[in-house]
Amino acid sequence: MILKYLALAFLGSIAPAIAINIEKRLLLWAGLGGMLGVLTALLVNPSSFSFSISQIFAGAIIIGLYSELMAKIMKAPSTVFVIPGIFPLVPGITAYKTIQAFVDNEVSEAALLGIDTVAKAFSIAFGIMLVTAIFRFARRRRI
Amino acid sequence: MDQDKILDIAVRAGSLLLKSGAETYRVEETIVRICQSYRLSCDAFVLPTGIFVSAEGKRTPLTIVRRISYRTVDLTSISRLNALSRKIQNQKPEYQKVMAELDEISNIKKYSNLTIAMAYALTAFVYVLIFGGTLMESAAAVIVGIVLGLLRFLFRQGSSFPFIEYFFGGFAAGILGSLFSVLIGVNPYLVIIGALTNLVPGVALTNGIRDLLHGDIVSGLSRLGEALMTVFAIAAGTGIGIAAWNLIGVVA
Repeated sequence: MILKYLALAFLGSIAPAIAINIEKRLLLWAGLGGMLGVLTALLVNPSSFSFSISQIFAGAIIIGLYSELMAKIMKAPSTVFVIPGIFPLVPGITAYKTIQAFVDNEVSEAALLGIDTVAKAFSIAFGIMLVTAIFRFARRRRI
Repeated sequence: MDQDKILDIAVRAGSLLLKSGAETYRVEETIVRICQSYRLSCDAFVLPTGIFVSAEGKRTPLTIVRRISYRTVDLTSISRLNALSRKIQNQKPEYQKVMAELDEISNIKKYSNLTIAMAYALTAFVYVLIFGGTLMESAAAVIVGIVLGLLRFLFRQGSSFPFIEYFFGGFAAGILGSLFSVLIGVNPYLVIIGALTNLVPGVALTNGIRDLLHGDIVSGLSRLGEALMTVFAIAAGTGIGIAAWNLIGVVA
């Protein structure tokens, strides 16, 4: 089950990356990043496949580390690995459900889903930014 | 090098970066770094919809404002521009050489339309399975994904109203999802959300929050606004699509 999920996460990072015109030489590495993120999320809580905030945050930190590392090795900006990598974690569906609940006039459910969406999106961005900030700080101290 | 030529390079590189979906701080840093490489002190203020750069050179101060009307995400351009900015910093090449390279980046080769449509189909297929759908539902979502890919080519020819692509994408997904639920008895909801993963503004959402956390408050909030508008357009399209399908059912 977990293996199948990892394979899906790999494809789920590669396919959108093609749609946003990633370089061919980086394609597989971008997919690996997405897989690592999902693997981390599953290591935090193997029983839950619809990710909670802590799972997403842990995944984002690992994707951030991986992206900074790959940016050094492959000589490309880290964003190129971050954007495909976080794709399986982004709460796009929760965002969509939120608006759908609004459309269906279920305002209280929409409010709950909305908070959930924002919190999840924040935990991804916060995880990535944390790693970026640490790397930048380290670089500045060395100079 | 001349002051206006330096600014020309910096603003051109910056606007290409912004059009390719780079974060605000990356655009600002690139512009300032290019100017500094040619020993010109400048200040850049970047919003998702425009760039303001002002330099105080030896002669009179010079300011450039560049309006950005259309943004996509293009990782190859971001990576190439990053490499170019590094090269400018180290080698300080001539104006003509940099401009030639910038021209090349702005006409960069994209994946073929067929490949992109396949990527949309694959995304739809994979995410239906991730959301717990069956193979039947994935197969239905593949067709919806291809339709969304076709809509992208139809609307992304420099459309003046960017959200229309998302509205019609949602509309098509709503109608086709309902159609497949009648034809082969799949769960329409899973087909629709799986296919719509292609359109969901994940980059705008996370980039917006990254800008906010970085202190680029205006950019961050406007990117979040863009994400919100996109989601609204998708949801409105889907809702109207499903309603239209039900209406056809009532009439027929």
